[in-house]
Amino acid sequence: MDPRRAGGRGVTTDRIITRNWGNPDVFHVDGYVANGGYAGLKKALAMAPEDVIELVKGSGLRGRGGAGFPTGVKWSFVPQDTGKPTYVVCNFDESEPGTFNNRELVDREPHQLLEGLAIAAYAVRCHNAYIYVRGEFLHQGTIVRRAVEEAYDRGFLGKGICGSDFDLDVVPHRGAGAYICGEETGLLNSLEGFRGQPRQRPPFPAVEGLYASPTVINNVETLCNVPHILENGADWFRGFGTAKSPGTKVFSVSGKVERPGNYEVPMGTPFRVLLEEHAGGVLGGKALKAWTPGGSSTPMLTAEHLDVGLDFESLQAAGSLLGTGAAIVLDETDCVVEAARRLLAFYAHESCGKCTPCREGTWWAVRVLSRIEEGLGRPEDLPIMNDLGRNILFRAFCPLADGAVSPITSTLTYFREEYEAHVREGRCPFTGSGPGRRIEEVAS
Amino acid sequence: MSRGEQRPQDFLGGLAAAARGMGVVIKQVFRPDVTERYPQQIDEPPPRSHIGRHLLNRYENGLEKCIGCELCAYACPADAIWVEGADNDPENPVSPGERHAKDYQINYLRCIMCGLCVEACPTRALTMTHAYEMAFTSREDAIFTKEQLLEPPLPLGTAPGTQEG
Amino acid sequence: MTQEAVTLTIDGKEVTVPKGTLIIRAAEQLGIEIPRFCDHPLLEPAGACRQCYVEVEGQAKLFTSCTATVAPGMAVRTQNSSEVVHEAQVANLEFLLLNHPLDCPICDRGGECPLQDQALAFGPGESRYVEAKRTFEKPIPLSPLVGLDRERCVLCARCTRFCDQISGDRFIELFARGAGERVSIAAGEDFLSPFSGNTIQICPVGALTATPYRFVARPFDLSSVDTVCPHCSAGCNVKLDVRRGKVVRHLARDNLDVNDAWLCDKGRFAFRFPDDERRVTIPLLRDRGLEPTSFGEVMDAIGDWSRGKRVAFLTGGRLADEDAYALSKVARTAFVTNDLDHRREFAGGEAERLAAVAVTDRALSVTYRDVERAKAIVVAGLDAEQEVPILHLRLRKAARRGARIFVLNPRRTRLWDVAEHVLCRPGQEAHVLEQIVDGEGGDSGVGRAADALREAGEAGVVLAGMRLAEHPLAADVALRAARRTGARFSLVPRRAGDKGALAAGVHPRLLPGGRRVDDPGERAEVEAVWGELKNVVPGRNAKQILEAAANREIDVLFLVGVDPLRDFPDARLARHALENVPYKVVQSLELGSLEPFADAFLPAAAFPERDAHFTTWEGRAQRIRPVRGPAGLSRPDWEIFAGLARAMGGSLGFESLEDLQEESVGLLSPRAFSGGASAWVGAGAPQWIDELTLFTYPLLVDEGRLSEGASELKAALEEKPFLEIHPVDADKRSIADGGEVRVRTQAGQAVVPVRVTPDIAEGSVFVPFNQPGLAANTLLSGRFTAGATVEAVAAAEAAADPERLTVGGGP
Repeated sequence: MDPRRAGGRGVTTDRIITRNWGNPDVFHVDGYVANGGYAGLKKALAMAPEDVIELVKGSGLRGRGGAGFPTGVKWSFVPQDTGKPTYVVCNFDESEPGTFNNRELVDREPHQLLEGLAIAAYAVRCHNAYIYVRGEFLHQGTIVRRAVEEAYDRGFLGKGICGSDFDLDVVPHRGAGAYICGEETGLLNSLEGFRGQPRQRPPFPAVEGLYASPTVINNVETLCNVPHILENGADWFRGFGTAKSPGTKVFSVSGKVERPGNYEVPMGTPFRVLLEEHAGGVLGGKALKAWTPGGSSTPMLTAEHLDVGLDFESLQAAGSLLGTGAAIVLDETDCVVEAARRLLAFYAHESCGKCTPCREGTWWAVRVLSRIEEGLGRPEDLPIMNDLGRNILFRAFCPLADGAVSPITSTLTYFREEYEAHVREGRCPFTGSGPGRRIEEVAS
Repeated sequence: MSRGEQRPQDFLGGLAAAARGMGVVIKQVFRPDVTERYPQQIDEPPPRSHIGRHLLNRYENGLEKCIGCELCAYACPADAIWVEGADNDPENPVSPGERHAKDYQINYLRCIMCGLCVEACPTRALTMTHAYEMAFTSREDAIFTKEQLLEPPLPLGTAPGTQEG
Repeated sequence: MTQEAVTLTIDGKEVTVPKGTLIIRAAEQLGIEIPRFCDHPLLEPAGACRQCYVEVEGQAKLFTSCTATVAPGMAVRTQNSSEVVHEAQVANLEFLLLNHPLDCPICDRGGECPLQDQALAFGPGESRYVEAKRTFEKPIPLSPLVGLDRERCVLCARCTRFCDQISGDRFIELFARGAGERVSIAAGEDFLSPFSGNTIQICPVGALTATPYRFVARPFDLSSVDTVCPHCSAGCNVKLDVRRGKVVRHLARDNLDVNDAWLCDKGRFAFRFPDDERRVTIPLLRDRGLEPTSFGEVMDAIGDWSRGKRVAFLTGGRLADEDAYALSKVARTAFVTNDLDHRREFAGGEAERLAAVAVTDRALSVTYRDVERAKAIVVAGLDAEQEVPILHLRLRKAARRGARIFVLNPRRTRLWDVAEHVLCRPGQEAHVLEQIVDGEGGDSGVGRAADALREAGEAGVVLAGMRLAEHPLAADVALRAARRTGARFSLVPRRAGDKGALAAGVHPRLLPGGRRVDDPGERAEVEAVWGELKNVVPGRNAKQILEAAANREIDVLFLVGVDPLRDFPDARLARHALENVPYKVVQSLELGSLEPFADAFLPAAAFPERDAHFTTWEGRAQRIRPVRGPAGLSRPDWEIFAGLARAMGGSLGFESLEDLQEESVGLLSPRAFSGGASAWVGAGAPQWIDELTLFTYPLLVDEGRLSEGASELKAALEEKPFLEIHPVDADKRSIADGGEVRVRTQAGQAVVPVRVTPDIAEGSVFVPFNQPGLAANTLLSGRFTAGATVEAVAAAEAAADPERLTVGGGP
């Protein structure tokens, strides 16, 4: 067995939601229950919904989808006197490049998610919950569907859950494959059968979400934490991580590392520990050039940020964001211009097209970056890239565009010299592609 | 000082001035003549002069440059130009693109030869030529149709109205 | 209801607006224009184009002023006072122009394009974009009326939002995503909305263009006039654009009291009739044939024919208000007749009394605003989308604002998604409406309508279409239902001149202002202005005039803007009438099918040549203005009537339009209705035997004369003749959908394609009034006829049948 699954080889045992990953039995409902599963739900059902919310509030659990909004506070925003039904939607549209922690959470222990979802639904008095599964997750869609069926069979979902008078129906829904549907209002539009484009906020989903009714939208990892909080209490949960970012975070480490994979570490753990102790260091012992702390939408950091703690506050102070907790590692032989080009191509492809800066800005950025990478860059292209970053950031309808800007601005901040080298030499210094002469000379 | 009491030096000065004036006259009498004996003798204007009738140009493949956009008509301060646009038949286009000029007329009784239309033309379809012979015997003749404007102007001296000299 | 007010500052200027106002609207109140593309005041905010950035003090991000609402004490800075905002707008414009083809010289929008204007005002002079632009196939015809150029599109979604939110027919939608996002339509479908032209007008670039206007003109070519659409009683405010005397375009003008900012496709695209080649602009007099002559000669001849003879006038509801007044006066004073009628329907019974109520009882009147704000609306005998399209949009708007709408009609209308329909057989309307009067609530469509009206009280509206007027009682019961529930009531006529003609007294029983001709007191009020009226016996209505003519009881028949053969619902009666009247005087734009009958022709000026008024169905008189002089020798109708009065040896007493208006205003001003209660006895449940009721009404786009020359409009929206029948009735007769049937009535028969649909009341069959190839009035003797038979026609027989799509004689 892979040593990291068993908690060996220098890996701490401070794990909450991945603690059963060494045990294949928890995949099915019997193994899950045998392992103590659904205890949190039972405990919750014995409490008043308001008390569940207070408990989660007290734990300080923050959304793991990227924004880091306190989960209990989000639940408490749901009005209960509208006369409309309340919905809980689990956002399992995990599409952020470099992120695969939600997928493995479902792959290994789907009932942990269902239990968290049921508790959330009980807390906000919701009787219809949806799990929005990323379109490309064919296999995970099946897993979720089967887990839901199992839970119905065992009475953890459906009418009168666990003998209580609480009813909950859960519908798994597979998306059609659009990154933008990970944005919560885009997700709601998609779920309602409309085009996956974000909605105007306000009104916020907590007030007017799915079918214009109060809606709570939580990430998979967030919901997976909830049963453990119910079971062990808020103070226990606060024992992990930092004061402002309690708990743990499952980091997806990928790129040039010895052991890519998902690693759950307490919030605030320095990146150096994650990289060197868990992921085995940079591949082949090369030097670290750049890394993203939270997926491609978060600004890249460099080797000088190795000791930054992985939590919301520390990363923000370092000029980046925790995002979805996805570390993509580039080593000294990687070209950041090419990296930025590939990421921008992703955003240009995934832009929903609704608003101008995102639609046209990413399109333009891809073209300029491609030219620079191919050795056809001009000196005036760098100011264009600068302007693009400035003119897209915080100007678009939804945060997709803000994320798309991160690769541009962060690479221009830390690796401007590399861009200039591309233009100066008329080729990519790493791959050698390009005419090898300045564009002016090529033209003349 | 009253009139009639001219002093001698004034009189001499007057004579000198008259002689100087006559000098100019006599000098001009012997200078070569600059009057052109038009139309018996016609001097070609400089080769790049754009002083006369308009010309609608074509591309080398024969398509008309004019796209019927009416910007010339908009620019015209004398309201001398009439353009009517129409769709191009994709199988048999008159000009490149979607639009061509179905009708194009310039009224030379209105035209003041200012050339603003040429400035306005986005495709360089409209230029001016050196053909300055603009005499007509009827109002209708003064309105040039698209067919006429597509043809290069006749050589100077051959236009109707210049013959009887 | 007082709304909470919010005070804020924009560019340092203080403004107070209602809570919930968008910043961009608040700025407009101060006269500060924030650039925008996707924002439209009548559409819901989208926030798509990102051009309308403003800076809000204390906020790090820029706001889009088209989506952000005001807050108390907010300090907003626009491009006028904030460099950041200005730079952001310039940058956004650069983005918008990246993939724009910059083909302004060949674009129909060039010269009146918001994108062009803004690029010129503050756009970057030169492009920094050196790569290849995105290309699409173009131009794509979305329909014969609308062309789409996707390269020019800035994806503001105004067009798709219009279809979704206003017209409710989502033919077009945005497809794909990212830079490949584009407006598109389902494969093989056409943009068949009767409101499609509005998307062209609200497109902020040249992405959607009108085929009839394609490459026709430039804004600087056009002379324009603000006038009113002549097509129906909706009274939409339009701008008429003329190039060298020829009408080339109608555009909607904004008027929130009438048409908001919309116009139906007929109003927008049926503009060629004044320039139609069949128009006659010289007076004609029959000698051997119809010979051109002078007005004087024609007038003298008419005078000779008419003196001391029995004269009748038919008008088609197309006369302007002033013309109607002049006609009402000339008929009664110079020709001493009350045989005049403006209606094309064969009205009768209590509808006559109702007409008087409709003119005089202003307390009952309904306006567009009333419809918009209503809580419950009952629409009876009216297919608003086809008959008064802009009213249809208002009904949809009301529904969006929460109104409950009920439609009482034999056919389901396009309000299907927002209204509850009660399908009832033609002639049965009175019976159904009676249930509302009786206050029977409960669990049926009528019951819910009754309950909703009662709940709404003064916020209830009952709209009765002219089809109700054909039933002896129905319209009156509708009025009674409104009175009983406290709702407002309006009789909605179809044509632009109907309401004005009714008010002016182009009616056998009514004088101007709804005064009854046989009521001495009311008549005296008119006589005070017109002098003594010699004929005080109510005259004949339209049907009676035609019957009298057919019986040789009329000597001179004036046909003013009407063609009885085409316009009245009984073609056979109309033909007999024309054949049996010695002298027929036609006053119109053209002769049309009346050429063999006309003895004299008086050329009338067309609406773009007129200064006059049209009255909307609400009773709102709106001015129409001339954009050019009368064509040829044609004259405004009222001047012709004045000439006729002189030819008869009298005078109308006014020589100018101003005099006419001054004289008429006193007679037409609102007054109290003094009529007594009607002799209403209750309709009772009708008895049906196993037969079908054939009914008809005109669809929006048909062979009507004002649609002449609108070839693109007809190609897009004109349907071929068809017959609709309910599946139950079809099954009994073994009729299959899509086949052909022979419909037979006492009046005639025809072979038409059949549509079997549950969207029609059982026991009813519908044929449209005037589609190409089938004039329904050859099958009818009124707008509906009981006792029609419909039988399936075998395909082979249909192909061989020479009567296919044509009309035979009697049975």
